[in-house]
Amino acid sequence: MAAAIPASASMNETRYTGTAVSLHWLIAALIICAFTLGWIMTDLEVSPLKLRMFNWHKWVGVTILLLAIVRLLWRLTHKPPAMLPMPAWQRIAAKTLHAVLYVLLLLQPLSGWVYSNAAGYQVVYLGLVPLPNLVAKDKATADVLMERHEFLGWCLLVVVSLHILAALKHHFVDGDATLKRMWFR
Amino acid sequence: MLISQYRRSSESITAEKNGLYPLIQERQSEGEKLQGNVPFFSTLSCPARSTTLVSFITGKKFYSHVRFLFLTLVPVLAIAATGDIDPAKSTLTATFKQEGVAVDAPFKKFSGHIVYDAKNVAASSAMIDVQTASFDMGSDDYNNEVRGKEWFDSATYPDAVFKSSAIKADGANKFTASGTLTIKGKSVNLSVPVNVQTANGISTFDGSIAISRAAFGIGDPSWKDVIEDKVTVRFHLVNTK
Repeated sequence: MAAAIPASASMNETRYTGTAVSLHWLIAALIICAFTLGWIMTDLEVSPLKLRMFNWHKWVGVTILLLAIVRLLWRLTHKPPAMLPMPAWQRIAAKTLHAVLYVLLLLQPLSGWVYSNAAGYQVVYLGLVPLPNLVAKDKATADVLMERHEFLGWCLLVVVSLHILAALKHHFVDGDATLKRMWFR
Repeated sequence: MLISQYRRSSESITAEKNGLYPLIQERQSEGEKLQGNVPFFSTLSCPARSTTLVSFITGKKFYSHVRFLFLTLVPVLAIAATGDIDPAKSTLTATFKQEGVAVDAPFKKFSGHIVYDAKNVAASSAMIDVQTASFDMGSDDYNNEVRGKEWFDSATYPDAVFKSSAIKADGANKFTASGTLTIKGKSVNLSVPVNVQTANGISTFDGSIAISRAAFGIGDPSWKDVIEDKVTVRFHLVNTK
Protein backbone atom coordinates (compact mmCIF):
# COMPACT_ATOMS: atom_id res chain seq x y z
CA MET A 1 0.00 0.00 0.00
CA ALA A 2 1.10 3.52 -0.67
CA ALA A 3 0.88 4.35 3.02
CA ALA A 4 3.74 1.91 3.65
CA ILE A 5 6.14 4.35 2.02
CA PRO A 6 7.15 7.08 4.48
CA ALA A 7 5.94 10.53 3.44
CA SER A 8 9.48 11.93 3.45
CA ALA A 9 10.66 9.29 0.99
CA SER A 10 7.88 10.05 -1.47
CA MET A 11 8.75 13.74 -1.13
CA ASN A 12 12.40 12.93 -1.90
CA GLU A 13 11.57 11.37 -5.24
CA THR A 14 9.97 14.59 -6.41
CA ARG A 15 12.56 16.95 -4.96
CA TYR A 16 15.31 18.62 -6.90
CA THR A 17 18.85 17.79 -5.76
CA GLY A 18 20.61 20.07 -3.30
CA THR A 19 22.94 21.24 -6.09
CA ALA A 20 20.04 22.13 -8.38
CA VAL A 21 18.27 23.99 -5.56
CA SER A 22 21.42 25.94 -4.63
CA LEU A 23 22.11 26.87 -8.25
CA HIS A 24 18.49 27.93 -8.75
CA TRP A 25 18.41 30.35 -5.82
CA LEU A 26 21.95 31.62 -6.32
CA ILE A 27 21.17 32.49 -9.92
CA ALA A 28 17.82 34.01 -8.87
CA ALA A 29 19.59 36.31 -6.39
CA LEU A 30 22.23 37.27 -8.98
CA ILE A 31 19.58 38.06 -11.59
CA ILE A 32 17.95 40.46 -9.13
CA CYS A 33 21.36 42.07 -8.48
CA ALA A 34 22.21 42.38 -12.18
CA PHE A 35 18.79 43.76 -13.06
CA THR A 36 18.80 46.32 -10.24
CA LEU A 37 22.35 47.43 -11.06
CA GLY A 38 21.51 47.66 -14.74
CA TRP A 39 18.42 49.71 -14.05
CA ILE A 40 20.13 52.18 -11.71
CA MET A 41 23.53 52.54 -13.38
CA THR A 42 22.19 53.51 -16.80
CA ASP A 43 20.29 56.44 -15.28
CA LEU A 44 23.26 57.73 -13.27
CA GLU A 45 25.30 60.74 -14.29
CA VAL A 46 28.91 59.97 -15.15
CA SER A 47 30.70 59.31 -11.86
CA PRO A 48 33.16 56.83 -10.34
CA LEU A 49 30.17 54.99 -8.87
CA LYS A 50 28.58 54.65 -12.30
CA LEU A 51 31.75 53.07 -13.70
CA ARG A 52 31.96 50.75 -10.68
CA MET A 53 28.33 49.70 -11.06
CA PHE A 54 28.90 48.91 -14.73
CA ASN A 55 31.78 46.66 -13.71
CA TRP A 56 29.76 45.01 -10.93
CA HIS A 57 26.91 44.47 -13.39
CA LYS A 58 29.31 42.79 -15.82
CA TRP A 59 30.89 40.65 -13.10
CA VAL A 60 27.48 39.51 -11.85
CA GLY A 61 26.48 38.81 -15.44
CA VAL A 62 29.56 36.69 -16.11
CA THR A 63 28.92 34.81 -12.84
CA ILE A 64 25.36 34.10 -13.97
CA LEU A 65 26.68 32.86 -17.31
CA LEU A 66 29.15 30.51 -15.58
CA LEU A 67 26.51 29.22 -13.14
CA ALA A 68 23.99 28.81 -15.96
CA ILE A 69 26.49 26.62 -17.84
CA VAL A 70 27.14 24.56 -14.69
CA ARG A 71 23.39 24.30 -14.14
CA LEU A 72 22.75 23.22 -17.69
CA LEU A 73 25.46 20.55 -17.41
CA TRP A 74 23.94 19.39 -14.11
CA ARG A 75 20.52 19.25 -15.68
CA LEU A 76 21.80 17.26 -18.68
CA THR A 77 23.56 14.75 -16.44
CA HIS A 78 20.86 14.50 -13.75
CA LYS A 79 17.29 13.56 -14.40
CA PRO A 80 15.00 16.18 -12.86
CA PRO A 81 12.17 14.87 -10.65
CA ALA A 82 8.97 13.94 -12.43
CA MET A 83 6.52 16.78 -12.73
CA LEU A 84 3.71 16.93 -10.22
CA PRO A 85 0.24 16.07 -11.47
CA MET A 86 -1.20 19.07 -13.30
CA PRO A 87 -3.20 19.76 -16.44
CA ALA A 88 -1.39 19.14 -19.72
CA TRP A 89 -1.41 22.80 -20.74
CA GLN A 90 0.33 23.72 -17.49
CA ARG A 91 2.96 21.04 -18.05
CA ILE A 92 3.64 22.32 -21.56
CA ALA A 93 3.65 25.93 -20.37
CA ALA A 94 6.06 25.11 -17.54
CA LYS A 95 8.43 23.19 -19.81
CA THR A 96 8.40 25.96 -22.41
CA LEU A 97 9.00 28.63 -19.78
CA HIS A 98 11.89 26.67 -18.28
CA ALA A 99 13.47 26.23 -21.72
CA VAL A 100 13.13 29.97 -22.44
CA LEU A 101 14.65 30.73 -19.04
CA TYR A 102 17.66 28.55 -19.78
CA VAL A 103 18.14 30.25 -23.15
CA LEU A 104 17.87 33.72 -21.61
CA LEU A 105 20.25 32.82 -18.79
CA LEU A 106 22.90 32.18 -21.42
CA LEU A 107 21.87 34.77 -23.98
CA GLN A 108 21.45 37.79 -21.71
CA PRO A 109 24.97 37.73 -20.21
CA LEU A 110 26.43 36.97 -23.65
CA SER A 111 24.59 39.90 -25.24
CA GLY A 112 25.95 42.15 -22.51
CA TRP A 113 29.45 40.82 -23.06
CA VAL A 114 29.41 41.47 -26.83
CA TYR A 115 27.78 44.87 -26.30
CA SER A 116 30.52 45.85 -23.89
CA ASN A 117 33.15 44.76 -26.43
CA ALA A 118 31.47 46.66 -29.27
CA ALA A 119 31.38 49.75 -27.07
CA GLY A 120 35.14 49.40 -26.66
CA TYR A 121 35.27 47.87 -23.21
CA GLN A 122 36.82 44.50 -22.68
CA VAL A 123 35.19 42.52 -19.88
CA VAL A 124 37.69 41.87 -17.09
CA TYR A 125 36.04 39.48 -14.65
CA LEU A 126 36.32 40.80 -11.09
CA GLY A 127 38.91 43.25 -12.44
CA LEU A 128 41.35 40.34 -12.60
CA VAL A 129 40.55 37.93 -15.44
CA PRO A 130 40.43 39.50 -18.90
CA LEU A 131 37.82 37.76 -21.05
CA PRO A 132 38.35 37.62 -24.81
CA ASN A 133 36.80 40.31 -26.96
CA LEU A 134 34.04 38.69 -29.02
CA VAL A 135 33.50 41.59 -31.42
CA ALA A 136 35.56 44.59 -32.50
CA LYS A 137 34.81 48.09 -31.24
CA ASP A 138 32.17 49.69 -33.45
CA LYS A 139 29.69 52.39 -32.51
CA ALA A 140 26.89 51.24 -34.84
CA THR A 141 27.18 47.63 -33.64
CA ALA A 142 27.28 48.82 -30.04
CA ASP A 143 24.06 50.81 -30.48
CA VAL A 144 22.25 47.78 -31.91
CA LEU A 145 23.62 45.42 -29.25
CA MET A 146 22.66 47.80 -26.47
CA GLU A 147 19.06 47.69 -27.65
CA ARG A 148 19.17 43.91 -27.90
CA HIS A 149 20.61 43.62 -24.40
CA GLU A 150 17.91 45.91 -23.03
CA PHE A 151 15.18 44.05 -24.91
CA LEU A 152 16.41 40.70 -23.61
CA GLY A 153 16.43 42.23 -20.13
CA TRP A 154 12.73 43.02 -20.46
CA CYS A 155 12.10 39.52 -21.82
CA LEU A 156 13.87 38.08 -18.80
CA LEU A 157 11.78 40.26 -16.48
CA VAL A 158 8.56 39.02 -18.10
CA VAL A 159 9.59 35.36 -18.11
CA VAL A 160 10.89 35.45 -14.53
CA SER A 161 7.68 37.19 -13.41
CA LEU A 162 5.57 34.46 -15.04
CA HIS A 163 7.82 31.83 -13.43
CA ILE A 164 7.35 33.40 -9.97
CA LEU A 165 3.60 33.88 -10.42
CA ALA A 166 3.20 30.25 -11.50
CA ALA A 167 5.25 29.02 -8.52
CA LEU A 168 3.16 31.10 -6.13
CA LYS A 169 -0.04 29.87 -7.76
CA HIS A 170 1.06 26.24 -7.27
CA HIS A 171 2.01 26.93 -3.67
CA PHE A 172 -0.91 29.02 -2.49
CA VAL A 173 -3.78 28.21 -4.86
CA ASP A 174 -3.15 24.56 -5.75
CA GLY A 175 -1.37 23.82 -2.47
CA ASP A 176 1.06 21.42 -4.16
CA ALA A 177 4.79 20.90 -3.57
CA THR A 178 6.07 22.67 -6.70
CA LEU A 179 7.73 25.46 -4.74
CA LYS A 180 8.76 23.26 -1.80
CA ARG A 181 10.70 20.83 -3.96
CA MET A 182 12.86 23.70 -5.21
CA TRP A 183 13.42 25.00 -1.67
CA PHE A 184 16.23 24.11 0.71
CA ARG A 185 15.62 21.11 2.97
CA MET B 1 13.22 101.35 -48.93
CA LEU B 2 13.60 101.70 -45.20
CA ILE B 3 9.96 102.36 -44.77
CA SER B 4 8.97 99.42 -46.87
CA GLN B 5 11.19 97.16 -44.80
CA TYR B 6 9.82 98.54 -41.61
CA ARG B 7 6.32 98.01 -42.83
CA ARG B 8 7.15 94.51 -43.94
CA SER B 9 8.49 93.52 -40.56
CA SER B 10 5.61 95.08 -38.67
CA GLU B 11 3.27 93.39 -41.09
CA SER B 12 4.85 90.04 -40.46
CA ILE B 13 4.57 90.50 -36.71
CA THR B 14 0.84 91.19 -36.88
CA ALA B 15 0.51 88.47 -39.48
CA GLU B 16 2.07 85.97 -37.11
CA LYS B 17 -0.34 87.06 -34.44
CA ASN B 18 -3.23 86.59 -36.81
CA GLY B 19 -1.93 83.28 -38.07
CA LEU B 20 -1.37 84.66 -41.56
CA TYR B 21 2.31 83.82 -41.66
CA PRO B 22 2.24 81.63 -44.80
CA LEU B 23 0.60 84.44 -46.75
CA ILE B 24 3.29 86.90 -45.79
CA GLN B 25 6.15 84.54 -46.55
CA GLU B 26 5.62 85.00 -50.27
CA ARG B 27 5.94 88.71 -49.88
CA GLN B 28 9.04 88.25 -47.77
CA SER B 29 10.86 86.52 -50.57
CA GLU B 30 10.07 89.52 -52.73
CA GLY B 31 11.57 91.67 -50.02
CA GLU B 32 14.75 89.65 -50.05
CA LYS B 33 15.23 90.37 -53.73
CA LEU B 34 15.03 94.05 -52.95
CA GLN B 35 17.29 93.71 -49.98
CA GLY B 36 20.28 93.01 -52.17
CA ASN B 37 20.45 96.72 -52.94
CA VAL B 38 20.20 97.90 -49.36
CA PRO B 39 23.53 99.17 -47.95
CA PHE B 40 24.43 97.26 -44.81
CA PHE B 41 24.60 100.36 -42.55
CA SER B 42 21.03 101.25 -43.46
CA THR B 43 19.84 97.87 -42.26
CA LEU B 44 21.64 98.56 -38.98
CA SER B 45 19.88 101.86 -38.52
CA CYS B 46 16.56 100.31 -39.38
CA PRO B 47 14.26 100.12 -36.36
CA ALA B 48 13.44 96.54 -37.18
CA ARG B 49 17.07 95.57 -37.71
CA SER B 50 16.88 92.26 -35.93
CA THR B 51 14.29 91.12 -38.43
CA THR B 52 16.32 92.31 -41.40
CA LEU B 53 19.48 90.67 -40.06
CA VAL B 54 17.60 87.43 -39.63
CA SER B 55 16.28 87.61 -43.15
CA PHE B 56 19.79 88.48 -44.34
CA ILE B 57 21.15 85.34 -42.69
CA THR B 58 18.31 83.18 -43.91
CA GLY B 59 18.52 84.75 -47.36
CA LYS B 60 20.38 83.28 -50.31
CA LYS B 61 22.98 86.02 -50.33
CA PHE B 62 24.39 84.96 -46.99
CA TYR B 63 24.99 81.46 -48.26
CA SER B 64 26.69 82.73 -51.37
CA HIS B 65 29.13 84.61 -49.08
CA VAL B 66 29.73 81.50 -47.02
CA ARG B 67 30.21 79.38 -50.10
CA PHE B 68 32.65 81.88 -51.54
CA LEU B 69 34.70 81.93 -48.34
CA PHE B 70 34.63 78.16 -48.12
CA LEU B 71 35.66 77.58 -51.71
CA THR B 72 38.57 80.00 -51.50
CA LEU B 73 39.80 79.03 -48.04
CA VAL B 74 39.74 75.25 -48.35
CA PRO B 75 42.30 74.97 -51.16
CA VAL B 76 44.52 77.48 -49.32
CA LEU B 77 44.40 75.35 -46.17
CA ALA B 78 44.92 72.16 -48.12
CA ILE B 79 48.25 73.32 -49.46
CA ALA B 80 50.16 72.24 -46.38
CA ALA B 81 53.74 73.06 -45.65
CA THR B 82 56.36 70.29 -45.66
CA GLY B 83 56.62 68.59 -42.32
CA ASP B 84 52.96 69.08 -41.48
CA ILE B 85 51.17 66.07 -40.12
CA ASP B 86 48.57 64.50 -42.37
CA PRO B 87 45.53 64.30 -40.07
CA ALA B 88 43.77 61.77 -42.29
CA LYS B 89 46.58 59.23 -41.98
CA SER B 90 47.73 59.94 -38.45
CA THR B 91 46.28 58.59 -35.22
CA LEU B 92 46.71 59.58 -31.61
CA THR B 93 45.13 57.49 -28.87
CA ALA B 94 45.19 57.43 -25.11
CA THR B 95 44.86 54.17 -23.21
CA PHE B 96 43.92 54.08 -19.56
CA LYS B 97 42.80 51.34 -17.21
CA GLN B 98 39.59 51.38 -15.21
CA GLU B 99 39.37 48.50 -12.75
CA GLY B 100 41.62 46.37 -14.92
CA VAL B 101 39.86 47.25 -18.18
CA ALA B 102 42.13 48.92 -20.72
CA VAL B 103 40.17 51.59 -22.55
CA ASP B 104 41.45 53.04 -25.84
CA ALA B 105 40.11 56.33 -27.06
CA PRO B 106 41.34 58.51 -29.90
CA PHE B 107 41.89 62.22 -30.19
CA LYS B 108 40.05 63.12 -33.40
CA LYS B 109 41.60 66.54 -33.99
CA PHE B 110 45.24 67.39 -33.81
CA SER B 111 47.82 69.05 -35.93
CA GLY B 112 51.56 69.27 -35.85
CA HIS B 113 54.77 69.85 -37.61
CA ILE B 114 57.66 67.43 -37.66
CA VAL B 115 60.84 68.39 -39.41
CA TYR B 116 62.94 65.27 -39.76
CA ASP B 117 66.32 64.99 -41.36
CA ALA B 118 67.76 61.46 -41.26
CA LYS B 119 71.23 62.78 -42.04
CA ASN B 120 71.15 65.38 -39.32
CA VAL B 121 68.74 64.09 -36.70
CA ALA B 122 69.83 66.67 -34.13
CA ALA B 123 68.49 69.40 -36.41
CA SER B 124 65.02 67.82 -36.36
CA SER B 125 62.11 69.26 -34.44
CA ALA B 126 58.55 68.33 -33.55
CA MET B 127 55.47 70.19 -32.43
CA ILE B 128 52.11 68.49 -31.86
CA ASP B 129 48.96 70.36 -30.96
CA VAL B 130 46.05 68.24 -29.77
CA GLN B 131 42.52 69.53 -29.33
CA THR B 132 41.51 68.13 -25.97
CA ALA B 133 37.79 68.43 -26.77
CA SER B 134 38.24 65.95 -29.60
CA PHE B 135 38.89 63.04 -27.22
CA ASP B 136 36.30 60.49 -28.25
CA MET B 137 35.21 57.92 -25.69
CA GLY B 138 32.45 56.73 -28.00
CA SER B 139 29.55 58.22 -26.07
CA ASP B 140 28.38 61.80 -25.57
CA ASP B 141 28.04 61.36 -21.80
CA TYR B 142 31.67 60.45 -21.36
CA ASN B 143 32.93 62.91 -23.98
CA ASN B 144 31.21 65.75 -22.15
CA GLU B 145 32.60 64.48 -18.87
CA VAL B 146 36.23 64.46 -20.03
CA ARG B 147 35.90 67.97 -21.49
CA GLY B 148 34.74 69.20 -18.10
CA LYS B 149 36.70 71.14 -15.49
CA GLU B 150 37.82 68.07 -13.53
CA TRP B 151 39.40 66.52 -16.60
CA PHE B 152 40.75 68.41 -19.62
CA ASP B 153 38.84 71.61 -18.92
CA SER B 154 38.71 72.07 -22.67
CA ALA B 155 36.89 75.39 -22.45
CA THR B 156 39.85 76.97 -20.64
CA TYR B 157 42.61 74.77 -22.09
CA PRO B 158 41.55 73.75 -25.60
CA ASP B 159 45.02 72.55 -26.62
CA ALA B 160 47.53 70.06 -25.32
CA VAL B 161 50.91 70.75 -26.85
CA PHE B 162 54.15 68.83 -27.17
CA LYS B 163 57.15 70.83 -28.28
CA SER B 164 60.53 69.24 -28.72
CA SER B 165 63.63 70.87 -27.30
CA ALA B 166 66.20 68.30 -28.44
CA ILE B 167 66.17 65.30 -30.76
CA LYS B 168 68.79 62.61 -30.35
CA ALA B 169 69.41 59.78 -32.81
CA ASP B 170 69.22 56.26 -31.32
CA GLY B 171 70.54 54.35 -34.30
CA ALA B 172 68.89 53.72 -37.65
CA ASN B 173 65.23 54.74 -37.80
CA LYS B 174 65.10 55.59 -34.12
CA PHE B 175 65.36 58.76 -32.14
CA THR B 176 64.43 60.23 -28.79
CA ALA B 177 62.51 63.45 -28.75
CA SER B 178 62.95 65.39 -25.52
CA GLY B 179 60.62 68.24 -24.90
CA THR B 180 57.76 69.71 -22.98
CA LEU B 181 54.23 68.42 -22.83
CA THR B 182 51.74 71.03 -21.73
CA ILE B 183 48.23 69.94 -20.77
CA LYS B 184 45.75 71.97 -18.78
CA GLY B 185 48.34 74.71 -18.27
CA LYS B 186 50.85 72.38 -16.63
CA SER B 187 54.13 71.53 -18.33
CA VAL B 188 56.09 68.34 -17.87
CA ASN B 189 59.43 67.53 -19.44
CA LEU B 190 59.61 64.14 -21.06
CA SER B 191 61.56 62.06 -23.54
CA VAL B 192 59.69 60.11 -26.15
CA PRO B 193 61.29 57.21 -28.03
CA VAL B 194 60.22 57.31 -31.67
CA ASN B 195 60.51 54.89 -34.58
CA VAL B 196 60.63 56.46 -38.00
CA GLN B 197 60.01 54.99 -41.43
CA THR B 198 60.53 56.98 -44.60
CA ALA B 199 59.15 55.95 -47.97
CA ASN B 200 58.64 58.09 -51.07
CA GLY B 201 59.60 61.18 -49.13
CA ILE B 202 56.90 60.63 -46.53
CA SER B 203 57.99 59.95 -42.97
CA THR B 204 55.93 58.01 -40.47
CA PHE B 205 56.61 58.35 -36.76
CA ASP B 206 55.44 55.74 -34.27
CA GLY B 207 55.79 55.51 -30.54
CA SER B 208 54.17 55.69 -27.16
CA ILE B 209 54.70 57.43 -23.88
CA ALA B 210 53.26 56.83 -20.44
CA ILE B 211 52.16 59.94 -18.59
CA SER B 212 50.59 60.61 -15.21
CA ARG B 213 47.13 62.15 -15.05
CA ALA B 214 47.91 63.60 -11.65
CA ALA B 215 50.94 65.47 -13.02
CA PHE B 216 48.56 67.48 -15.19
CA GLY B 217 45.67 67.60 -12.75
CA ILE B 218 43.46 65.55 -15.07
CA GLY B 219 40.65 63.80 -13.22
CA ASP B 220 39.33 64.58 -9.79
CA PRO B 221 40.97 62.54 -6.97
CA SER B 222 37.58 60.84 -6.45
CA TRP B 223 38.29 58.86 -9.62
CA LYS B 224 41.68 57.55 -8.57
CA ASP B 225 40.39 54.23 -7.20
CA VAL B 226 38.52 53.52 -10.41
CA ILE B 227 40.87 54.85 -13.08
CA GLU B 228 44.62 54.34 -12.98
CA ASP B 229 46.86 57.35 -12.90
CA LYS B 230 48.99 56.04 -15.75
CA VAL B 231 47.82 56.88 -19.25
CA THR B 232 49.64 55.60 -22.30
CA VAL B 233 49.57 57.87 -25.31
CA ARG B 234 50.23 56.10 -28.58
CA PHE B 235 50.90 57.99 -31.76
CA HIS B 236 51.18 57.16 -35.43
CA LEU B 237 52.03 60.39 -37.19
CA VAL B 238 52.39 60.63 -40.94
CA ASN B 239 53.93 63.66 -42.59
CA THR B 240 52.44 65.21 -45.66
CA LYS B 241 54.70 65.00 -48.68
